Amino acid sequence: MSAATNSFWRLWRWPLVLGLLSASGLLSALVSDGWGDWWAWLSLGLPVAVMAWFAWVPRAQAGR
Amino acid sequence: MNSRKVKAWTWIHKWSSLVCTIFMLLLCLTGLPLIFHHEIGHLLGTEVEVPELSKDMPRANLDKVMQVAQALHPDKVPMFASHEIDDDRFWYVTFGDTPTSEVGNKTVAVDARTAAVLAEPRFDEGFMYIMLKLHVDLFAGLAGKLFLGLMGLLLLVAIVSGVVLYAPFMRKLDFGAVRQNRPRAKWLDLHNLLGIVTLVWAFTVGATGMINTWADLVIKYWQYDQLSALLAPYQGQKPPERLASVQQAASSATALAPDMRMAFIAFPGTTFSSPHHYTVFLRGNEPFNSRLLKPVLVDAGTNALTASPPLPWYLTALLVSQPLHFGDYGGMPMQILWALLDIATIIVLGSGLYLWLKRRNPATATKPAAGTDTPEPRAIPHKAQGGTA
Repeated sequence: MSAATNSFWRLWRWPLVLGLLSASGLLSALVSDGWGDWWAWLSLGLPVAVMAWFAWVPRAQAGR
Repeated sequence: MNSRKVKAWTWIHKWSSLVCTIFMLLLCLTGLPLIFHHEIGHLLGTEVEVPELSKDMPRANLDKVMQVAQALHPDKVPMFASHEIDDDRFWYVTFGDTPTSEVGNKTVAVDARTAAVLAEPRFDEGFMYIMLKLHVDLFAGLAGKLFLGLMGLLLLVAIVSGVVLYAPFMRKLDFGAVRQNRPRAKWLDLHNLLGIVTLVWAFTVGATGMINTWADLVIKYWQYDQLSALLAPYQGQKPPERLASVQQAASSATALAPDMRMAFIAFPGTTFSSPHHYTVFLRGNEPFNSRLLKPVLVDAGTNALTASPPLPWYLTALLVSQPLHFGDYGGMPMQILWALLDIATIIVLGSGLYLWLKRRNPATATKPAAGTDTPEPRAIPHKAQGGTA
């Protein structure tokens, strides 16, 4: 993997994962009332949890 | 991306955000109680409380329902009879001075099984009404809706440009890093973190909200596009003097699609019907097609079935965009998530505003360099050197 692809993935890996999760949750609840709702709660809840974690759990030095 | 491009995207992000931020804050704040409007309605006692009766209790005749409701408003004309999407135990019957009037309308909630009047809900007063009006049209009717739609479009531009700018701003930082040493860096990092994580949700809710602002126009276009052809045989005829049975109209509509249930009935002359027809809107029973509607036009003078034109794509788009905006399709957990994501969006908007204000007042910033034209002096030069993304 080239340096450029490497840094691309480092930058976008988590935004992509969370974005795709959110999208799947927004759609799953639309097509199914059983598993679809459960998946939506999980896949929209995870991004919310990630935000709360990074916003509230203090870190000594986050920069590189 | 070179520094000129970063500057251009920064300009787009700054101005698209600045123009819409104050309205978006208003929409986020008023939207918050609207997510829970049923629950708040129960607390305020404005929700219709339906008596528990046996499930297989037969439905009351709709003509009787209409007669009971009309008796409360003898000088007005019926506009709609509708069910809540998840509760067909009662009818909302709406009356107006004319079939298209928008002010002074009255609603009567009638038990769909016993034809007893349950409530006369006021949809034009109280806290939730103010929230709804501020959220939907700023008390300015169609112009207000279209204006908010335009602000929604600017929000989408701000979101896209924000995503483009995420790369140069985050190149040196790990995902989720929130620097604690300077307040401005902390709020910039929070802005980036919450912005990128809420991206898909905020874009979806923004885009579907914008589509909803066009609802009135879309319905008018539907009348012109689809109903005008069906009305050709009625050319030169007066609308029926006496309306035929609503129950008959409803029965022939439901007989056409036995696996569907009634969503609402639009009376002759309303925006959802024609001057000559009852239009019965049916919805499906599956989660997805319960959001879609099947219109059935029944002659309001003779009760003859006129047509059931398929739902055009633009109405399908409008109807599908509604749950995606309201967040009312995944139970209480989804409503709570909607509220949390809404609050996260408020923080993104507020921090964006803070970052801009801090930039405008370099005297209050910790570093003199904050007065330069780039919003984050540490990130941009780095990006300009290494940037071929």
